[in-house]
This record gives sequence, structure tokens and C-alpha cells, in this order.
Amino acid sequence: MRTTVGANPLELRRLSRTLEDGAEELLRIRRRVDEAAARLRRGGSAAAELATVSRWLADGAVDARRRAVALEDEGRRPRRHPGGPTPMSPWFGDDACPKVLITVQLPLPGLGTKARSRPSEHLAVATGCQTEVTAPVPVTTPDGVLLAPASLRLHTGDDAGDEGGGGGRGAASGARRRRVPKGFANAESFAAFGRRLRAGLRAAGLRDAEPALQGSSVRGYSFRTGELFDVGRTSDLDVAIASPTAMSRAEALGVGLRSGGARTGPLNPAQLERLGLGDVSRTLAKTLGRPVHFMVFESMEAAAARGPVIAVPGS
Amino acid sequence: MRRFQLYGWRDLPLADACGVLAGATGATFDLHDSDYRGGEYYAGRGRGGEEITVQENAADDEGYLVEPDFPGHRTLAYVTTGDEDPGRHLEAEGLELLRDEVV
Repeated sequence: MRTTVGANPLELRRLSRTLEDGAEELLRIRRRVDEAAARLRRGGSAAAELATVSRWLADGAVDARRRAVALEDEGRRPRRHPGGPTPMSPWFGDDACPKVLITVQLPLPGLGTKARSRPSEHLAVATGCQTEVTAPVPVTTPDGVLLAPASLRLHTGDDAGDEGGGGGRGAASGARRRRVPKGFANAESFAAFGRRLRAGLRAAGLRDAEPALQGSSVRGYSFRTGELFDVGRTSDLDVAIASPTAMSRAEALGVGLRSGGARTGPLNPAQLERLGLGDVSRTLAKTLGRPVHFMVFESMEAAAARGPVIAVPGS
Repeated sequence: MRRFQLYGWRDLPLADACGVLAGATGATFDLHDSDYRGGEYYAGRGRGGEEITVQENAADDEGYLVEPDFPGHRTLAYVTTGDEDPGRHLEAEGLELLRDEVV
């Protein structure tokens, strides 16, 4: 999809239309979430709101299916996805992977979602091969306490299934092509990065560590400035390390934990050295020609709750 | 052994801080970007081989500062060297040494 889009004006126009449709659909769903939040504030039932969300998703499935069929008619073959729909992170359609995927995480009392709070609302659209529309929506309890925002994400293109789920779905899909983050020439160079990184993690004694890329190499643009990757400056690589062992070591070393103990902050050079990650950090930076930064998470779900991730290949 | 130092300024803008460090160390700085580090920052290497990064003590999307122990310092500089100590040299330039570790 990425190379096709870049080379084919027709495909680019088609993607643009899909994005516009998706943005409208996202805003429609967002208005509905706002209505649900208002009902919760008035004392509505969480179970009833979940049922309402399910109905929205069913509506979305019809719309997404229509688009998938339309694209198929134009000669594109929708991919199948092995996972079935789930209540909180649905795959629209049950027999074909749609071209448009909307992930809804609506944290309601008792539902156990691990969505993390993002206080600032935003609606961002990145054009090109990596596309995403995100609109966190605050959800409050009847007495006005902010629970956490519902995170609405819309992805287009073949990459859709790799985001938001911590990479686990990508690994489960087997034959499906792995997405290559920005900063890597191709899948082979990403795989080589994965081998070096995982070797470094093992050398540091972090045998339970699962790494994933985050930040602008995944989004394609800076979360802070909106600038595209590597335009006008060097975009670094941000690596999430999901590792209970690393979390325990970090805490023992006095590294402050955040998000209720779900993660550290960005590791500074001294903390990297103390955790045994200094050598691999320097080696990767030298090889790639750009710095590599690390943050430790208790789980990949905790990392994915803070932003899209691409699992680093290898095991 | 490597020495890791953290310096700070209370209210000096990022670009001005780079200017001070460039004069003190001979470093030339390149603009970088990292979501983890709070957005855009500068990185360079001094003539003595010291690795220097200059960044804002920015808050992340949950309000956590990069260096929460120093909320009064707007601009930070991380200086990594061998085990020699460049501290006196840099402090003479008006930098405040916030942390000094040898690992």
C-alpha cells in the first residue's frame, strides 16, 4: 500500500477520499460518545452505554464493509484478519479485513480497559502512507470525575491492523506483512535492528523484554509539532520496552515510575547505563545514524495505551 | 566508567542555551525530535568528545516533567563524558549543576 500510494495518483486520491470519509465518520462517532458521556453524567447505566456503543460499532461495520467491497470492486483484494471482533477493539466485518478500521476504547466502570488518560483533546490527520485520525474524548462519572478519555482511532491502509494493540495481533496474523516504521529503508533493515536490539536486551539480562517502536517513526509525524518524520531535523527513534524485569530494576534504581506504576519516564543516559542498556543504545544510534530513546513499560498494553506501537521483529 | 551530568537553567530559552554551550565546549548542535524527550531538542559533541543534549524540561501528555525533581528549571543539558570532569568549566558559563553521576 505504501509504495503503491506514493507512485499512483489514482490510489492517492482514493486514499484521500477514504480519509475524508473516515474523518466524518470519526466525528459522528465522537458526537455519539459525547452524548453517552452526557448520559453518564446524568446517572446513566454503564451497561446501557456499552450496548449503545455496540450498536454504533455495528453501524460502522456496515459502512466499513461497504467501502471494503467498493475497493474490492476496483480490483483491490481485502485481506482477511484471523481475529474475530472484540467489544472494545472491534474489527469491522467478519469475513474480510476492511480498508478502514476504527478502534474505540471507551473506559467504562467495571469493563477493565487499560486505556490511559490523555488530558488534551486533539484531532490529527497525517497524510501519506501512514494515516491516522485520533480524537480522545473525555468520559466522566455522574459526579463529574474524569475517568479517562475514550480513544477513537481511525486507520487506513494495509497497516491498520498493526496499531493500537501492542503488536500482538500483528504477530498473530502470521503471513501478513509487517509494517516498517519510518527511519528504516525496508523490512530487512528493520529486522536487523530488531536482532541487534534484542541481543542487547538479552545481554542486559532482560529476557522477558518485548520491544516496540513508538512516536514519530510509527505515526509519521511528531506528536508535539505535527512535523513529518525527518523533515527539517533528525527524527529519533522511541523504543518502548515492555518488561516486568526492567520495571522492577528501574524502580530499585530509583527511577521514578509514572501512570500509576505502569511506566517510567524517558530514560536519561545515566539511567540507561545503570539498566545495562547504554551499550545497545550507543550501538543502535551509531548503526542507524540517529539516537534511540527508551521508555520501560509494565506491559505492551500499557505502551499501546499511550500511542500506536509497531512490534520490533524477532523473538 | 562514564560521567553523566545534568545541568539546568531556570529561564534561558533552548536556542540561547545551545549558544552558551557551543561557546563553552566548541560543540555544534543539530536539531532533533523525539516524542519521548518532549519534542524538539538539540544534540552535539564538544571538542573534548563530550556528548551534549539540550532540551526543555517539558511535561508529557499526562503532565509529568522530563526531570520532575527540577520543576523550576526550564532548560536542561545532559553532558556525558569519560570519567574526566568538565563541571567547573561549564559551571563557569552560568550553568547550574543539578546531578553528577559516574556509572
